[in-house]
Amino acid sequence: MNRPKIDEAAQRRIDEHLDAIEQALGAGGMTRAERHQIAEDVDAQIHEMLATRLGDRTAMLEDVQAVLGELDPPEAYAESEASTPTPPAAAPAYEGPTRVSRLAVVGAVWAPLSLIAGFLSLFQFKMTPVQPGTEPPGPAWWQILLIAVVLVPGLLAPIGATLCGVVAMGSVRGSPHWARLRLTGRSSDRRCRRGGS
Amino acid sequence: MPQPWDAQLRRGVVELAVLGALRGGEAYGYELLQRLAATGALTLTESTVYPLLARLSKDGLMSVRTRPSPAGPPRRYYRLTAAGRARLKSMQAQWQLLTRAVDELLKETGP
Repeated sequence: MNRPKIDEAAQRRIDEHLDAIEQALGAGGMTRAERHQIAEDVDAQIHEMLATRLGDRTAMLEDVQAVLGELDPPEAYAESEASTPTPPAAAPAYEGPTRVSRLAVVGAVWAPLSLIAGFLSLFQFKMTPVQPGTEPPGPAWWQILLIAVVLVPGLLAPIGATLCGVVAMGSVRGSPHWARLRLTGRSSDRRCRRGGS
Repeated sequence: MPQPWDAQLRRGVVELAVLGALRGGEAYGYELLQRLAATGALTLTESTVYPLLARLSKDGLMSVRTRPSPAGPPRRYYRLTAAGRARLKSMQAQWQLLTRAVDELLKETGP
């Protein structure tokens, strides 16, 4: 196979084709080096096809047109697989034992106790005079139980529930499932910016 | 005439096909196109294959070297790197799982 001689007009036509390809690839966001590499591959192919067809004969414009007619048009490169952005890698599937943070649940249950404690604190205590020589009346057993179960945790609830929430958010953010949620959110943002659905 | 679903199907396997075509040894772009065309069913064109070669070489899955050509400008020869061979191996395993599963489905629900 000999290197084909190419007429000046024919060479210009080849250059135009390669420039158009580079332009189409550039619109797809491909780097200059990559565009150049692709254009070189196409150039080599055009020359090889011409050499196969023509042998020693000089390639004229119509020969080049015929070869280019067999190739993809430059605009096809804008739609090529490599000129479209690579989709973000999928985050690994969540494999944890549960999807609900236990600490978050504890915090959610604990927080309303502060409301109950606040409600109970609205009751007025009745002072009963104590006769000398008698035992002062203490709280009944159920009152002690109520204080232990509701009042103490209720008063601590604002701090405790907040701490539970902070620690739970920290562990949720560190989970693989959170990474997947963030990727989904970013994709939605991109769709919104493009005006898609 | 190729249908849209046909194009989608080919698009999904083009990387595997290109990596597979280079398993036997290095090739320059047009030679690779001819190897793919020789299979009969994989008529992938240059606007698909050359950008893919550029991406795969950028990703380190292929190495490129340039050698003079008797037909004109120098040819760029593409060869699988160790990372490319590893990618091919994992894609091939995945492909076999996929085809086996689809074959099974087609066998069960075939006309």
